[in-house]
Amino acid sequence: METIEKILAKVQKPARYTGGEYNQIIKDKTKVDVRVALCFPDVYEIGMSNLGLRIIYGVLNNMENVWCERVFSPWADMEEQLRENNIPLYGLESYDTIKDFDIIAFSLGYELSYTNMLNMLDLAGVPLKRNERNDKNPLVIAGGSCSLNPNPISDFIDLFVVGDGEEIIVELVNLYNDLKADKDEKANKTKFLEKSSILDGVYVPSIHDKTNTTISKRVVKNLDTAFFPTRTIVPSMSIVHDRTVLELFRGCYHKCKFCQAGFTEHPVRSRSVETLTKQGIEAITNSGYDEIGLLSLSTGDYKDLSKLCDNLLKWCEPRKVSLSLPSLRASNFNVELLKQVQKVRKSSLTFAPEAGSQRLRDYINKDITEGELFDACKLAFENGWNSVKLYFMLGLPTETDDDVLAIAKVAHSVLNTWREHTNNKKRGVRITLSTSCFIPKPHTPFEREEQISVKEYLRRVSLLKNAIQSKMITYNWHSPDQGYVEAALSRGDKGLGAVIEAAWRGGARFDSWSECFSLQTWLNAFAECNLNIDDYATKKRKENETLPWSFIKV
Amino acid sequence: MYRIRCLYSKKDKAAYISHLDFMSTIQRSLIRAGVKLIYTKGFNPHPYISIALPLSVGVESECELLDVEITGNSLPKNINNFMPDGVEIHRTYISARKLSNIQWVDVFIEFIYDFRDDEKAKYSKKLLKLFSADSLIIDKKSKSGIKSTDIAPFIKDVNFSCEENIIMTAKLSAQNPTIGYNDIIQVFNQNNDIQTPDLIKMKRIAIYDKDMILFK
Ligand code: SF4
Repeated sequence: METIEKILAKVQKPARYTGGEYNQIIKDKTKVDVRVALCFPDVYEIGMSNLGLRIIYGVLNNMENVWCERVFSPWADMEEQLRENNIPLYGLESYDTIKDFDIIAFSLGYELSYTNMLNMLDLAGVPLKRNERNDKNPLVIAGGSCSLNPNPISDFIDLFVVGDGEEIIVELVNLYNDLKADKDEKANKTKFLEKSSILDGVYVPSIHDKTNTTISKRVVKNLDTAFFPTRTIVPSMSIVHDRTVLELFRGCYHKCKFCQAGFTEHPVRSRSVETLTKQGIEAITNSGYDEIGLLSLSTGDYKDLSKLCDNLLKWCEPRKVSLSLPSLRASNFNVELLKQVQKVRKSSLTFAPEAGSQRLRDYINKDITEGELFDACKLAFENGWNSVKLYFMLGLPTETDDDVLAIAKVAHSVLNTWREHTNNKKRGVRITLSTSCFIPKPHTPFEREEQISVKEYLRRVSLLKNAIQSKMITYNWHSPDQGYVEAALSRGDKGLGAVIEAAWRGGARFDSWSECFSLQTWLNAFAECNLNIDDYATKKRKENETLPWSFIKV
Repeated sequence: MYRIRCLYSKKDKAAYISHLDFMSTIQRSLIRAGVKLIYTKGFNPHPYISIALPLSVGVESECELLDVEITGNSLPKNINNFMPDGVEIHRTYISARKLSNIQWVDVFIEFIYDFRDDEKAKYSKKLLKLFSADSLIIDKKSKSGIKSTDIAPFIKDVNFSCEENIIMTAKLSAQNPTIGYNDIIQVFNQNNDIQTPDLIKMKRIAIYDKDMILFK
C-alpha cells in the first residue's frame, strides 16, 4: 500500500486509481470461487461512464461466488510510475494484481483502444498472445462492438462474446467455475474453451478458426426482465457522463447505411414505461445524482417518451433532478418534448443530418428533411435556445462537391431560422458545425466502400470552410488521421494483430485521444509488418471478395 | 431552515478526492441519505454547502468542518452508511461561529525516507532546525502570483520525533495565508542541501481560532 501511496502522490488525478467509491462491491476473497477483472481500455472517467461496463459489473457481482473488479487504463504518468516501481496492474476494489485473477474481461467499444488493451495486459504481466499463455495465466476474453470484427485482435483474445453480454457472461463464468478443480487453481483452459465454443454468441479463435464455423450473435430478448443496475457505483471524481442513465431500448428503427449499431443491434427491444420509471427512481435514490440521462440509439423514437418523461418529471422536479435527452432526431422533435426537457434544465441541442444535400441523405437513408430540421430549430429558438450543434460526415459514398457545399447552406439556413424566430437577438446564437471523415464499417451496406484519403478529406474541409460566411457559425473538423487508422482496424483481417502489437511497441497508447495519437507510429507499424494501410482503409472491396468478418452473423 | 455544522474525517482513499469533486460527492451522499437540502434560487439552483478549509489532494484529515443548510434540524443517524470509503461524519451541531474565525490547524506530517534508522534520527534534527528557524523563505503561490514569502511566522509549535519515519507535528496558519501541503513540499524544493523525502504524508488533527481555542 505504501508504494501505491508513493506513486499516487506523483500522478495527476489519483482518484482514478484508488477505488473506494460509494456502492463499489467488496467481497471476501477467501469466500469467492471466481475472480474477474473487468477491464476498460481507457481512463476511469470514460470507463465509468459506460453503461455496458456497469451492467456486467452488476451481473457478475450478483453471483455470490464471483467477485468482479474494475480496471482502467492508467494514463501515461501512472503507467510510468507502475513500470518504474514494478507494480503490476491491480483491481480497484482489492488492489490485488490481476494476473492472479481467473478471468480478464475486456469491454471493447472502439478499435482505437486496441493498443491500450495490449498495454493493460503487459502492465498486468500477462503474455499478450493467447498461444503464449498457459493454464497459470488468466483466461482473456472480450466483448463489445469490436467483436463484430474480431480478426485484428484474435491473436490476443481467448474468447469473444458477440452481441449482448449480460446473459452469456453468467453462463461462461458458471461453466468456468464448474471446470475448476480447486478454488485456488485456474480452470483447464482447453477444456473450458471447448465447452464454451458451442454456446450461442461465443467465438473461440483457437477452435472456430479451424472449422470455418459461422458465429451468431447473442440477443437478450426481454429487456424488462434483463438485469439493469440501479445500485451502481457513484464516482467520487467527475466523469464524462456524470449522471444516472436509463436504457430505453436497444436497436434502432432507422437503417442509416453507414451506421454499424443500426445494422447490428436489431431487433429493437424496449423497456416498458413502468420498468423504466421504477429503475429511474431507484437509481436516483441509490446514487444521489441530480440528472437522469435517457439513453438509446435514437431516444426520440421511444414510443412512450412523453409518458415516461411525465412519470419521471413528477418525481424528479420536486427533488431538483433533471432529465437529459441525448440522441434526439430532428424528425421526432416536438414542443411537448422540448418543454419537458426545458422544465428543469436547458442544454444545447444537437442534430446529426450527416449529409448536406437531400440527395445524399436519401442515398444514405438518413430520413431527415431540411424542413424537419428547420422546424426543430425554429421550435428551439422560439423557446429560448441559442446554441445548436450540427454533425456531418465528409467522404460518404457518392459525395460530390455540391453535397459538401450543401452543408454550408444548411448551416446558413439554420442561422436564418434563428434570425426569424428568436425572441432575443442581442444574446446571439452559436451554431457549431462539425465534420468527421466517413468510416466504412463491417456489417453495414457500406462495408465494401472506400474511405476517402486524408488529403481528399482536407480538400473537402477547406471547400466547406470557404463556403461559410458567418462568424456565428463555428466549424470544427475532426482530424482525418485517427479515422484513417480506425477504418483500417475496423475492416482488418488477422494480419493486423502484428501491426497493432508493433504500434503498441512503437509507443502507441490512447489512440482515441487526439493529443496522444500519432499517425506516424501506425504507418511505421504497417511498414514493419510489410502491409499497406491503404489496402485496409481506403481500398474498395470487390463484390465477390469474401470479407474477413463475414463469419460473424448479425 | 437550519444551518448544520458537520465535523467529519476524510482519510485513506477519500484523501485523493479533490476539493471540487468532494463538493459534489458530499452533496450526493447527503441526498441519498435522504437529507432535504436547501437550494439557492435562480436559474441554476445549487445547495448551500460550504467547506471550511479546502484540503489538498492526498492530505488526510480528522477535523474537517462543513456547513449545510437543510429543512430539518438534524441529519439521519445512519448518515455514514451513505458515504464513500474514508469519509465519516463524527458530530453534527448548530454553531453561530463563522468559519472565517478559524486560524490554526494542528498537523501531523510523516516524512518517508529510504534511510537507515540512525540516518533518519540525524535527518530529523536537520529538519527540526529547518522548520523552526526564525525565517523560512519560499516562493509561495497566491492569488496574485508567486511571491517570495517568509512562512516562519505562520508555523508554530514545531516538534519532531523519529520512529519508523520522521514525524513532525506543528500548527500551521489556516487562512490568510494558508500554509498547506504544497508549501511544505516547496520547502524541500528550495533547499538543495536537504534530501526530498520519497513521500510526505500529512494529516490535519484539529483546528483552532486565533486564541488557540479549539474551533467548533
Ligand atoms: S445513425 Fe442513429 S438513427 Fe441512424 S441507424 Fe444509426 S442509431 Fe439509428
